[in-house]
Amino acid sequence: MSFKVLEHTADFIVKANGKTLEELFSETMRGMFEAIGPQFESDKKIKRDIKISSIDLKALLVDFLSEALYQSDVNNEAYFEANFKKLTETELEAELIGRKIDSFEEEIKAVTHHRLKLEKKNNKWVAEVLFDI
Amino acid sequence: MELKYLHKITDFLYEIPKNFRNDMLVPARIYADMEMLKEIGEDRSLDQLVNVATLKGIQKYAIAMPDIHEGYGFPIGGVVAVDFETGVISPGGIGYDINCGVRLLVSPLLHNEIEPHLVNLANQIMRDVPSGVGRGGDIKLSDEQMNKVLEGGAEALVNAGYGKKEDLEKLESNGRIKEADAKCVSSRAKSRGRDQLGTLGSGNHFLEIQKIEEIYDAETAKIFGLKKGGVTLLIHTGSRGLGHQVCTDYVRLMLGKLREWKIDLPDRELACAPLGSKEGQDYLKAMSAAANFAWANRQVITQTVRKAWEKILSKIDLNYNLDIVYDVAHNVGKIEKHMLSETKSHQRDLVSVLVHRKGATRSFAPNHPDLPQIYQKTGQPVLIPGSMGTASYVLAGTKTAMEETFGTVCHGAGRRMSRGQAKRTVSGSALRQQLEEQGIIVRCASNRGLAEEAPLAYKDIDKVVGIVVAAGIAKKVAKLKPLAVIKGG
Repeated sequence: MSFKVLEHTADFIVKANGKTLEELFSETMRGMFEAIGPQFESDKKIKRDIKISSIDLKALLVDFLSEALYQSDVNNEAYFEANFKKLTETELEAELIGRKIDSFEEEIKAVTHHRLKLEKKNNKWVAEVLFDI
Repeated sequence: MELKYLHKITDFLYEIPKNFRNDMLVPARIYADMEMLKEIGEDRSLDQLVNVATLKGIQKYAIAMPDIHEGYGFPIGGVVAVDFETGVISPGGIGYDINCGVRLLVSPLLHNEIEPHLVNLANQIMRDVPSGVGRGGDIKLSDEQMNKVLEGGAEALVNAGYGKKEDLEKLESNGRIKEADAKCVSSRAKSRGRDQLGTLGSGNHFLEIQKIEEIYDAETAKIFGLKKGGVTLLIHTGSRGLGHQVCTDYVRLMLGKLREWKIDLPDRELACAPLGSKEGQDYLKAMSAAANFAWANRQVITQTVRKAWEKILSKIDLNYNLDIVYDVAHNVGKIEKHMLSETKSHQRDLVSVLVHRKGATRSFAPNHPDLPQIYQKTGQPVLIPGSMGTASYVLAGTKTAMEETFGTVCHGAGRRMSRGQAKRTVSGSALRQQLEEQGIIVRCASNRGLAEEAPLAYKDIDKVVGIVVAAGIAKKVAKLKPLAVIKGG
């Protein structure tokens, strides 16, 4: 597992890493969904295509997670993998892979930019994202 | 932040002077005593308050209430008023759960009359009010209905048969901010809210049946409809996924424009727009629409609770009436007229400002033109929910609050412990047992959800309320003790 969930007074933080930027984005998303305890309804895999553009790489990560959260909320799904067709400093196109859920144990209100970290350290990409719950 | 930087104004009010940091435009003020300040000083909430004091157009002070705690960008428990012409509006200063708020209902019955039926009442409410993460309700709004709710607020629901016309005058802003424009709310936000009207949600949102344990001001309590030994019902929820999406949408939009507006911020979550810009105005209209959605949500829940109450109590020929005492928003931005000069108090000196309240409650004083006739003499009822299983308070607004805090007080106990720490400290099942031993009925699907909201995870509500009362920004009217707690996960 290449993510962990850290605590914050009224929120929580997901700290993730990846050998590539793609892996980092995918792992941060997996950490986000694992942290809120999805109760899966079915084993059937579901795919959702998403396309995002943002002002910079940090904002792109927040917007990517916000999009996954939006898709999850309106479709009652949780995603555990993202395959990227494109990922630049300001744009991405990806396919989210997940399953239908009954519910989550927690509700995320939003992905925030607060204390956001995204950097390459010792040949590894690392990120820390704070969620409002 | 080290407390040596704070100057004492009174025993219950401290100030971080404007020269603490070069970019502060006004001083920061904190309502707290030294004991509470020591606790506040342990996290970053005071640094966050200083960041807020840098926002363009901020008036008088960046203000923190005693329930302040660290948030993301803005501290939770903060008040920021900006000049309506030259200031900025910040979605983070209002929060993702737009118009998270509290409504209080009162029964004409006494506790001893209700007591034998409490279990049935709690069970019926748990069955009838949808709760839990992502749980939708029975109402599925069409596009046209959604727009009516966003622009009409609680009134749109009363017109559709959910409640009585008299309900509306007992809601802050009559349950509708007139600046709302459904066109400024994205289709994504609307789709998230489509089936969420009348649902409680999860986290710290709950319903509580309460006993009126103490009356501090008999005359005011009588006007509020509260008597010792009486029964109240408190509803705590907000605008659900719709409000979260409105905030997310506009933070993203504003971040992309900051350079153009030459706004440099110490934290991206302080993203804001000049109030005079199209984006600032659009957010104001969208946020107002989301606030209206929250009032509509609490109106539907009120009606569902009234029906549950009727179902149980009509069988035994008891009065099942539930009247609204009041309904407050504690995450909201409002255009209001306030006095900016400290020495003058004449109506003509009032100036239009946009007041951001994030985890803070409006507390207008007696004779305020925005209050209904019935509360002109008393001031606004201010509803302060405690943490689960502890007391809640009904306060009344004061003139001092109008002069010092843009007519604002605290919003609750204020979290002091992370959810994870709470879960490690107390098990949900032990807490359930502990509450039931105190005679409190608990209806919550998840032990995890219960443990996260354990009273030990929050500050002491009695102390928080004690400080705002001692500081003169509210007066105590009644104390409410929980009889049954209903929450979803």
